[in-house]
Amino acid sequence: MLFNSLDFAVFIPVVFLLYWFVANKNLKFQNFLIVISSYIFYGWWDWCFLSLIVFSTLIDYYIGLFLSKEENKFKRKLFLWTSIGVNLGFLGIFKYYNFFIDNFISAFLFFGMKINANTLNVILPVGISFYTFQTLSYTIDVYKRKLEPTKDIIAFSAFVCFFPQLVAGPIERATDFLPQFYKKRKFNYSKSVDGMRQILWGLFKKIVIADNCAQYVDEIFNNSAEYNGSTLVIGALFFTFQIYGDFSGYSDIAIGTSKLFGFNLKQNFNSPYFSRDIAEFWRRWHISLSTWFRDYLYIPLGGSRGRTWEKVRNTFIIFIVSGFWHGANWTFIIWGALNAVYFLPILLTNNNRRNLEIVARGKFLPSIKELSLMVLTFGLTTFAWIFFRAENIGHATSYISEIFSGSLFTLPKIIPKMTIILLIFFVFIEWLGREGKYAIESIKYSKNILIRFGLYILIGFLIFIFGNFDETEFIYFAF
Amino acid sequence: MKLNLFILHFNMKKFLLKTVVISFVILVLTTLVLLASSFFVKSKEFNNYTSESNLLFLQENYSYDVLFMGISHARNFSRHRNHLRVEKILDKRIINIGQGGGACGVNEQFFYLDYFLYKKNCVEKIIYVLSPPMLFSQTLPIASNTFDNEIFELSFLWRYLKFESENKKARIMSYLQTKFHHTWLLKKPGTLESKDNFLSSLDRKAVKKGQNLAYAGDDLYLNQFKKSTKIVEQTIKLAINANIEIILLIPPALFGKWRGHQETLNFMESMEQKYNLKIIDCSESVLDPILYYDSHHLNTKGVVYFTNKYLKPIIK
Repeated sequence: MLFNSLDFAVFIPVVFLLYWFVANKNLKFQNFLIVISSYIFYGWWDWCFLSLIVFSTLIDYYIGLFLSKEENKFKRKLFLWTSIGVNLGFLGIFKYYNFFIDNFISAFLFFGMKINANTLNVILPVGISFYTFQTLSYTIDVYKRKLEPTKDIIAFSAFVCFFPQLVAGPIERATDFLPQFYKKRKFNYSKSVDGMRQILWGLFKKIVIADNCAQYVDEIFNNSAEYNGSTLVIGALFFTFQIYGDFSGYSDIAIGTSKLFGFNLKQNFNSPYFSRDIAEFWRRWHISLSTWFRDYLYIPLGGSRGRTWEKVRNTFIIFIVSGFWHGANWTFIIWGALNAVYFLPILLTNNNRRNLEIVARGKFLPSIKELSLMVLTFGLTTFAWIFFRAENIGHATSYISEIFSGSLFTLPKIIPKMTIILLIFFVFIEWLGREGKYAIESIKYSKNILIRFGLYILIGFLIFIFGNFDETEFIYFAF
Repeated sequence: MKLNLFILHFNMKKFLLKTVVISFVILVLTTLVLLASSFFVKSKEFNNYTSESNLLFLQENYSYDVLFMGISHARNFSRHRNHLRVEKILDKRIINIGQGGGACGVNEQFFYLDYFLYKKNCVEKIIYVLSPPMLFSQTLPIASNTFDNEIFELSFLWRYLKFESENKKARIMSYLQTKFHHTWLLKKPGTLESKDNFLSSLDRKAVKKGQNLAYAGDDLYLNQFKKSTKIVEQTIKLAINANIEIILLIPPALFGKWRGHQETLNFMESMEQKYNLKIIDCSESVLDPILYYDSHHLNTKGVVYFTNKYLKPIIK
């Protein structure tokens, strides 16, 4: 079920009313309703793949229990690796198997050897990369004794399949999120209003910004050979906004919806395009994934400590793995590697924690220096997104070479005026709200009811007028 | 416990009320703007031959002699002031609900006729211009721009919401959203100039390109044809139930027969037998390039010629 669908518009009020008026008397009942609703939400795509979630849930639940009782180091490790093996095994089969087989065949062919291997004709289960990482965090934390394993299978199932964030995050940590299922939720008026506000902004980002940009991005990227350099720049810039609007829009709707049910999810985006360097960008973009990799991969590898070559190795590993997490394609690996190349000079000169505060805090405008750094970072990010969006490496390189040709200085063949106006409005609101958890959060502090209601109505109105209601999928569903 | 329940219900009521009020205000405001923009455009006094819209001039309790329906080949009898010429030649009051521009297929033509009758209008005869591509095209049934030229009317929207159609949601959204667009507000009555361009010969390449565009590819989609003919039959039944005589006509084309011509003709003959209708195959009736402005659209001279020679006898 998509957040931007009519099905969801009917589903959410029904679950909301059942949750607060029928299931509110009992914690188990609240959690049980979440499990059932989440299975319905997921099963809307494909009931068959629900079995994967149920299987992962059972495996990790029981491994958690075994880990709590077991003191033998070897057995504990065995349990941990069983969980990792099963979870990553599913991910490997459904997401990466064909990629590796194809590349093995190509590699052998390169050396003149022909091998026969069959690829699998399977589709990628929606959200598998997200819930796999979420359940893995549980077993790893239980193994490290950072978390007591739960004995409540309903609470654990609800933690794994919680529908607002099941298919595209934010990827929650068991240490933060699981305890929320142990306490009965009470309806909180301000939290719910805040949730609605965040949902509204998320819908605007997805339906108005991302989906309007998507039309031009698809046209330009799919027919890039027919366009001049300046048009391709527009395509790349629009994709930069599309992916942000799409993914952060999803996160806002997920976080907002969770608030309606009394839950707190992690902030997943924090004005990333106002970053002054790549390190800051990665602290603000897809925060739940970046911190997951930081805690479960980067730090165990040694992080930014150790000798220079270790820092370089760890940086490349984390960025390449992060790129590969997005999809089984060399384009994502190059995208990750490119970000590592951007990041390394900052890390090696110990400047990676230079910009921790949001830019121009308390000011209306940034300084010239800040603006220049933001534009530079934005430009580097936009360039890297070309690899992310391209069909393959050849497509990306031909796209880039056309940009850096004389045709860059000719007039673009596509100038989507209305979308540009919408983008200016969007960037302006995002800039004004950059200190909040989402752009229009601060409107809650306004005591003027007309301003508050006026803004909600304006955004609702803009969604209606400019929204694309084709129920397009979210980009991150494919990851 | 009771106090907690009271607080929950009080806060919940407040929350639900606020949500409902904001949603309602957005809905009311949107409707008001839709109505205002439609009223503004309607005040520019469009009629059947200066607009591709039907709702801009469609009224209630009107009676006509002849109604044209179909795609651009039907609409062409009204464009460029041809409407008045045809009315004069036939000496009949005509209405044209045909839609060109790849915006409307048989299903929405059915809906337009249904709405015409719902508005208590009546007509004696319908000329259903059955262009073969209309029956085979896979794009016409899903075109989302069908109602982009129509004014916002609640009864029209409500009726269409209950109507069965492919891609209905996108079509409705496009219908509503276009009313906020500056091109809608700047809409002016169409030209009254006659269409005098003509061809000197038949360009085979252009024909192939045009046919591929009309059929959305090289293939003939027989499944789509089956679906379309079912809807045309429903249209025939609708007309018969309303005591309207319906005539099925294949329009002329400079190249003569369209792909799928025989299938179309077979279908028409089956309808002739089943419902005792008049059918007429005019595909090869006009083969002079001077009467066309492109390979399958008659220019003004062509419309006059065709109306005199072929429509006049069947209408009388």
